[in-house]
Amino acid sequence: MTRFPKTWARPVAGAMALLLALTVATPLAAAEAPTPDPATAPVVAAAAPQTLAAAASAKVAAMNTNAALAPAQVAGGDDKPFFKSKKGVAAILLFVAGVGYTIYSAKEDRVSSPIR
Amino acid sequence: MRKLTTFVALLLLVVLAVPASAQSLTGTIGGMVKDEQGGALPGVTVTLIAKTGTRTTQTDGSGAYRFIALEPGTYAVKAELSGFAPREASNVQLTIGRNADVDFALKVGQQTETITVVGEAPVVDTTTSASDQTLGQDLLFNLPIRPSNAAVSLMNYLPGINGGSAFGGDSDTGNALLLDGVDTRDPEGGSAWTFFNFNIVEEVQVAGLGAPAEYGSFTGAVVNTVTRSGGNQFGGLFDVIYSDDSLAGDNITAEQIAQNGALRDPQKVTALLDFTTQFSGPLIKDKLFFFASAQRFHREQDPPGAVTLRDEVSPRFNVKLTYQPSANDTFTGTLQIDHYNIIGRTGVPALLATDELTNREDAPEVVYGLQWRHLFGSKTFAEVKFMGWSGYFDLNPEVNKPGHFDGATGLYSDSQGWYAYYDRARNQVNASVSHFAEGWGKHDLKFGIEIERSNVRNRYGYVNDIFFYDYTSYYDKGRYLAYDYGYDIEGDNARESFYVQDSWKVSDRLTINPGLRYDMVRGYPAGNSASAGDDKVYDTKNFAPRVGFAYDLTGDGKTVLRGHYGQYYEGAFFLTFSGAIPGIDDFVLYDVSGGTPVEIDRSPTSLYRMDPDIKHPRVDEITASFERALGNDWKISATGVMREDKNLQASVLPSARWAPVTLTNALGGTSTAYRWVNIAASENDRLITNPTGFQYKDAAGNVIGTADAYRKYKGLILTLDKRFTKRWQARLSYVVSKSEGTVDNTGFNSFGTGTEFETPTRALVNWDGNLTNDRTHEVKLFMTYEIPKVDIGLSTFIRSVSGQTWTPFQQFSSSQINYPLSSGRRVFLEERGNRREDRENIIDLRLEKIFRIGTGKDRLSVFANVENLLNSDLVTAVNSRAPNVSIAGVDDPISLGGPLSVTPPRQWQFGARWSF
Repeated sequence: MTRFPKTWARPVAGAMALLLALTVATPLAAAEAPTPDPATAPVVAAAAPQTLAAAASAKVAAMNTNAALAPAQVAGGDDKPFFKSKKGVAAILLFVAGVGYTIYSAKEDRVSSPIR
Repeated sequence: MRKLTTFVALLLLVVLAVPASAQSLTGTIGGMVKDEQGGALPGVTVTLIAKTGTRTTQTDGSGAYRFIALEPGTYAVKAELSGFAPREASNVQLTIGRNADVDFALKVGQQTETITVVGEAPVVDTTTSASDQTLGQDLLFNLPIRPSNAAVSLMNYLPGINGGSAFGGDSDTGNALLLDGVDTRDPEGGSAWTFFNFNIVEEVQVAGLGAPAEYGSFTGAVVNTVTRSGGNQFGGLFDVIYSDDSLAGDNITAEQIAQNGALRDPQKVTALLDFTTQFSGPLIKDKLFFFASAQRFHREQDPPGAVTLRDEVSPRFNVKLTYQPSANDTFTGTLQIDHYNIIGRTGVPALLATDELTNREDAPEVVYGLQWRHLFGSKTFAEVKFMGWSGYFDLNPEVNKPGHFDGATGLYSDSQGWYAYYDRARNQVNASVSHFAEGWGKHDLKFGIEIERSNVRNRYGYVNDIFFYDYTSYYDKGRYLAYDYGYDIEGDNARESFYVQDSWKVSDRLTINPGLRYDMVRGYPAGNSASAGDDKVYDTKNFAPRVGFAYDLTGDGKTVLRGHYGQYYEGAFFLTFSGAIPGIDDFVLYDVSGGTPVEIDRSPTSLYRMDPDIKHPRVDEITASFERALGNDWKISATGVMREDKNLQASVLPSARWAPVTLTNALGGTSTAYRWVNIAASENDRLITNPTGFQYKDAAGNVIGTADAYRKYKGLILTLDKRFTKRWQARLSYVVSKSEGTVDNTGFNSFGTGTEFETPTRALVNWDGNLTNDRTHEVKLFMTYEIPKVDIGLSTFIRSVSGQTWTPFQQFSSSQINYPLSSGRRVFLEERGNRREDRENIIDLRLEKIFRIGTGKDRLSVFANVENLLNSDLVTAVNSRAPNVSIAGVDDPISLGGPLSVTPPRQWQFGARWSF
């Protein structure tokens, strides 16, 4: 018999369920949270980049004028009313639908071994 | 329970006794702040802006500052001092385990005038002797294909790695596969066990050439995958990809069908629907963050041959929580739960299978990790990690009936007839301390300990304890003989490793990287405590020294010369000692010609002895490289690699005696083989050892030959990199290499279960030569270009690689050489690797239309991938058995060198992705 799965499967599954519940519940709760103060947003998100590469160190020299295909960069704090925005609503709906269907699939598509 | 208690006690002992952490995935941002005249500025407030908040420090008396223990990602750094205009560097990219130097020159001015520049790390790192490669987000986002198993597929994009064989090492099993520091390999033999969602990857680092002492348990490469995590800003990714039968081509040629009619049906995907939904953000601003992902992967395939469907549905969930209770503490918890549900795995040789001769796979797993990182000021930090995974993988026959094999027709029928259950668990504690010190130069010291326990159980048997061997040509009922066989073996691996390493910056231009690693690797039978110590069947202790240097040739951080020597020992694997573990049933032969099984023979399986002085497999490596930045975005490099595997393991028969015989072979010549002359007296004397130096003897005791188990790799790697700027990026590489030896590099070849050295018929006859993964010439090009104005991205991955080698062999009969196992009667008719498959020329392509929303951080795209754009009909396996081989259901036999499998045809995939 395999010892580890039997010993740990239940608490681990419980922890996973809790984390998932937190994950789904949190954005809804956060939607009611107070709007962050724009003044606390990191400077990088607020300041407009200036073409002053020459003034910087040689080791921070290159001007990345187009990082179009690169993914999102340093996060700022500009998600003020995120869950009240169209984007936020769309995102949470998509996320909940995706998670829900995956959970459904985990049950419905299960190939069960008769000895387990 | 006793084992678990001991393990928890050990865990606590480590946590309490070791003041800091283990194998780190973090990097450092540091630099100097000076005034316009170049004078050092002490007391400057430097702020690091990360996605999880800010950290602040002040420059010391020399104007230096440092932020340590930073996760890979993108940062901004701001320097402020009264009387000077603040300066900020944004977009500072930090990759796994690397340092980024960000220096500032402050101008006198108003404090309200922040000057922001977009900073980038230099393309050349002049402070390490390692020659590793990374696949960052810019590359991963634009890859033209979607690997179904990111754990092992991504490494093949890099130079020197093909088919999972890294720099001549064992394919797949030689590579350590780390997911957020969790070793996800199968503890049986090191193959990939945990698959994960490609979309959760933040960055992949492939290390192995010149890797420092903190890396061990591999002889090929280390694939270090870091997953995404949450930050202060909400992020999301929603991705779907689709394909079906109508989007697949047919690349089988008439000539191939004439050579092997079973290949008529191309190997295509008939349905694919793979979606990911992902969300991350803050739970408590600057304190607690979440990342969650769900994926449902569904793929249906129509394999070659009579099987009509292979259907896989794999749901996967990932959650990561990051908690920062203070500026100096970070706790991270990760969890992955997934399940592989597969219908239609072939259970007999693939070209002979029908739908009823398949099985169903039930394979769930849980991967978990907890980590605590603590900073002791700006010079020291510690990490403690507990991580592991557990799961099983069961194969049950689609038809639950005994199977039949007809010796007259070569056909299987009714059912595959067997079942197999594999249980696995692995737990690991890593702890390490990193300290930056000054004295005779600058030091980046690291001390660490790793404790690993893993468990393997394998079960195999036949349905109703019987499998029928029919012979319809001679027996009216078709029933002739039947047999039974099975096993239930279980064992535990134990490993403790200690390491110390330094990155010693002797001067501004010279860095020396010394290190020492000590691994204790043991193996135990099932049910025994891994810590008891007196029941172990496998026990090795291994010192692995490492030393390297990096020298900034031009003194401007743009040209580096590197050199490194290191020894790398394999991990703790069950296959090193499983032959010595009891649990294998007798082989029982029945006469069933009368209808009822009558036992006519029973052969117990004798256990192997373990050589008490056996040594653990390792690879010794020397690398030398030259790297030069060309401008800010380009770099070229040349790396020479020499590797030699040592302590390769296999079994031998110490009491066996042999007589040479000369046999006429199918190629028209003669072959020397060796007849086992004292089988009854010696067949139970089996030994697992390092076979190099083992002497084969004739009946009189005279030495007729000596085993030499070796594997060597020599390679020269040339690369040209252009990072993503000005709408395009590229990575071009060329590798010329040679892999040779007597131990192949196709996987599972380094450990004690190998039987190739049991008989001189194999070990002494044409056994030395080119290994299967000897890919002499390799060219790879990855390129992305974004067409201006229309925002259409075009990415391609092109590879042109020498084919694998193969060797004609002939399987002689047991009456000719008196050897029972067929594998030991296969005589190479030419020197190993004398023939080579066709060159692999494959092009994959991606077209992506990008729609930018709002500030540009949001990205909505639709894309098309096409794999095997040119619809190559590359043969990926040939028949190497002479004379020609007949395949059931195919009229003409497959000739020597005839095709056994062909690469999948051109297949289009369409997808869409929204990320923010």
